[in-house]
Amino acid sequence: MISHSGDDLDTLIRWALSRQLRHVRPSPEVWGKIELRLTGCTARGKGIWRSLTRRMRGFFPPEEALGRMKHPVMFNGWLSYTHPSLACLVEQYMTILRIGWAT
Amino acid sequence: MSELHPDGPLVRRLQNGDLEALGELYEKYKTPVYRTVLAITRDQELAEDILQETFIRVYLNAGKIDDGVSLMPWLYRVAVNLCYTWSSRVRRLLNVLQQAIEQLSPVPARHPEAIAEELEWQQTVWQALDSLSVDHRTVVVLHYLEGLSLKEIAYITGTPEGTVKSRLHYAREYLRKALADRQHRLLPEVAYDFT
Repeated sequence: MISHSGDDLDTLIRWALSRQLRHVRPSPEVWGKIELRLTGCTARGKGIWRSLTRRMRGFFPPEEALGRMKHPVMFNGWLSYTHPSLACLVEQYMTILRIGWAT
Repeated sequence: MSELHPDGPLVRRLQNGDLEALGELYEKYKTPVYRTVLAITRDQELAEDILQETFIRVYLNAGKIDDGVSLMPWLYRVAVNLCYTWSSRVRRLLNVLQQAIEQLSPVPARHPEAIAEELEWQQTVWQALDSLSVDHRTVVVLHYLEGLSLKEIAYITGTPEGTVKSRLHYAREYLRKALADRQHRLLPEVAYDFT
């Protein structure tokens, strides 16, 4: 039984507070919200943007891609020249499509 | 010449607008600030909002922070002020909601006797704390949970040390009485067991 002397009371209060709160942690989303409010975009958002621009750069190697894109596309035979377009990219990565269209 | 506090370089980076420095300070202090705010407000979502607001204010007011001392008292001060603001605005509404939730909450599953006893003591202390004013609860939380001195609490709450001392004394007496009442309530049950 607790006698509630000064020391016991202090111990009990300290124990009850720490017992319930010793493992509490804020959720990981809080930092994202802080970042969002201060910069307008989150680290995840920045990461996605960086990743996207990196992939774009890989997809369009500056000189090579430009040169390649200026060549006419075979399946687009009714036109002598195709400007860089999505068709170039599709043709480059989908060989089967090219053969199918060529025949 | 005084030594530079370990927070000093981070505070200086923060004053230059370095968000990563804020991230490092956040990682260092988020738990004690959150724990304190949660103990005062007893509301997880609100505690996270106050934590968020506290660090945003740190970033926006970095120029006012002294890089020669720990950031911790400053953080506590901002967080506690935000708790006071919250308290004055919505305390009454939250109390009503809290009572409604308690009435609707299911009865907890049975625990072994020792655990039940422990939980009951915890609950009694928390109930007593809840019925204290925010001013008194803040002092109790900062003193007993965070282990801060009267002087530190006086700085954080913006009140004279004597006021802190009297609030702590009042809160302790109140808790002592609440715990004594609980024991008296238990006595008839104990007597019944032995008859």
